Amino acid sequence: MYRTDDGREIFVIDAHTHLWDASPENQRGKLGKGWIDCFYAYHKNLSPADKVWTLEHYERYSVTDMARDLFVEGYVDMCILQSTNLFEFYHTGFNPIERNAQLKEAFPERVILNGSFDPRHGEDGPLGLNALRRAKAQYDIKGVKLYTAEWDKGSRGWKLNDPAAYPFFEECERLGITNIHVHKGPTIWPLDRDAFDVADVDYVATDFPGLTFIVEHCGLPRLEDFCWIATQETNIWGGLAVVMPFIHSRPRYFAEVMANLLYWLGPDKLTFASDYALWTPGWLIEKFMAFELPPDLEAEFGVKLTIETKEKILGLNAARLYGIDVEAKKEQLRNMPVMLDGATPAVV
Amino acid sequence: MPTVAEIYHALSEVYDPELDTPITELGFVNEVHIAEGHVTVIYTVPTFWCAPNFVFMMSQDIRHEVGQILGVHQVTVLVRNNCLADEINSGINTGRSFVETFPNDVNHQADLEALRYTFIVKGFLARQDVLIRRMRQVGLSDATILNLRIGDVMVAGEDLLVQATPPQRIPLAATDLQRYLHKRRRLHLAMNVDAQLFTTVTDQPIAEADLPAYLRYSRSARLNIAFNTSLCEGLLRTQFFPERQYDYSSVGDRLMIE
Repeated sequence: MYRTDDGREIFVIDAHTHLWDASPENQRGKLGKGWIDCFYAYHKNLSPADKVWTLEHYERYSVTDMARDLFVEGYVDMCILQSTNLFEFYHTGFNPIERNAQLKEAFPERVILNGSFDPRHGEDGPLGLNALRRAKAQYDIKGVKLYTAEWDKGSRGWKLNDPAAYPFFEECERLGITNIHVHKGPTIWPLDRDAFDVADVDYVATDFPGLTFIVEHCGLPRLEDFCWIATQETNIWGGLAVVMPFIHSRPRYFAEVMANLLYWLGPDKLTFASDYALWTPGWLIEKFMAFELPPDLEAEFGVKLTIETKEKILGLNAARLYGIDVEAKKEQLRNMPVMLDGATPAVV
Repeated sequence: MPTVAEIYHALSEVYDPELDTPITELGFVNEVHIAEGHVTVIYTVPTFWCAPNFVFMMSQDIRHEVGQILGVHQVTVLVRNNCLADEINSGINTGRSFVETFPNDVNHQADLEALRYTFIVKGFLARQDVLIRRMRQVGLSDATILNLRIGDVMVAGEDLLVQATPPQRIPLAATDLQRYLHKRRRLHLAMNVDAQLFTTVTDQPIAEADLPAYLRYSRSARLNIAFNTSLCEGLLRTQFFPERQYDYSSVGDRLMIE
């Protein structure tokens, strides 16, 4: 919960977070190392100096670390854990659902756990259709995170509109897994195409109107193409992971991106995310609450970043997607403070 | 024997296709070695996951540009810090094409030139957008701007002179014009003095009524290039030039105008 100076309580959902293990013991050679080193460069380059972690801590942090960074020091009421598997890069995966579930088990009222699938796994593979059904049965997932740049047995990626993906989307509709978070990483296959092409989202969004496609990183680095398709399709949303930290290092860039997104998508289809542990939410939320859109952008785009819009982006939009009753949730969480390291609540 | 200066001059014609910026300005080039007519160029891309097709294009362009220098009879290009660096280096230095280097990852009609064209168009829109906005800033009307011929603008030192009524001087905009014309030339658009200065990428006139929508797309293309450029430069500095870790300046900033 973020409280403004005038007492307004802003409900916060961090919509894109992970509990990963990229420690050297879990790395499978140079790919696992190359992956986390790249993440660490993002973290180091875009975080304020006093928010930079050591590489060792960044490679593996605990459930307690995460709870502190989000729920105690980070204003976050609820987080959505997105599963990223990367079994070819890490022996036990990067943050598969089983690892993410540790946070869900420790803080069930505060955590939304998402699964994933990979159409190349068919019926019975570890991320195949049966695994998706099991994840629904075990965790009652309402969303999946899809990473189309995942390497798998010589294949270096897939597209959302591959025929093999359609049975998976049909199964998602059937099971009520309606929130499809899509990360467009630098897909290596097919190698001759634009690695960040977002056109495949357009196809599946048209074919599956009952599903909502949340494009993480707002399609960056293809903002212009993303804005275009998100305007055409009402069920395409933008996730602000990776966009957010620019608020510190390059506020003008951040302002321009926000003006574009508010113009093309409007205030109701954007979700805040720290992308934890890429960045920590506390400083992002503080800066976002203090941020104002420059007048020249307000004038040219005819948009405003009001407190109401910030409130939607920080939590109300994601709550709507996941069917969270915000007032009831505020009340529930108020009565269950997060306690770490044997701390006890202060007596009022 | 070729000189280092000549090599760097040739490298300044090699662009990161996605960032519309020469690799020399981005700080990618690490080492140039000259041994008689054999030149070796070593460069680093900002992340391990930089799209290998773009990396392949840059290596190919380095080989081509440096190979044209008088006295150079062999060029070796080595890229560092990419997940497919070994495959790319071996493919480039044995003169194999993209399809020959990655026979299993592309279809056989794979055309890197089509991909390259997509990004040249984005660069064109971004550079054009900068120039149009500079003109609007000094108060030129959209109608005046869209009616300009190439011969109506001229460079005066670092400034730009526009033959309108009354004539206008735009401070520090000479490079913006040159950057835009460079891209027009690259796209083989009309360059004669009577030619329309601002056209679509297929050399069609832009109607005044269409300009706001046209510029809104150009603006996001421009922002996207600036955003990516600053991100790539930052990631490179963080990993390889720690003394510049908190240097947030970017060559992409020249695309950022208010």
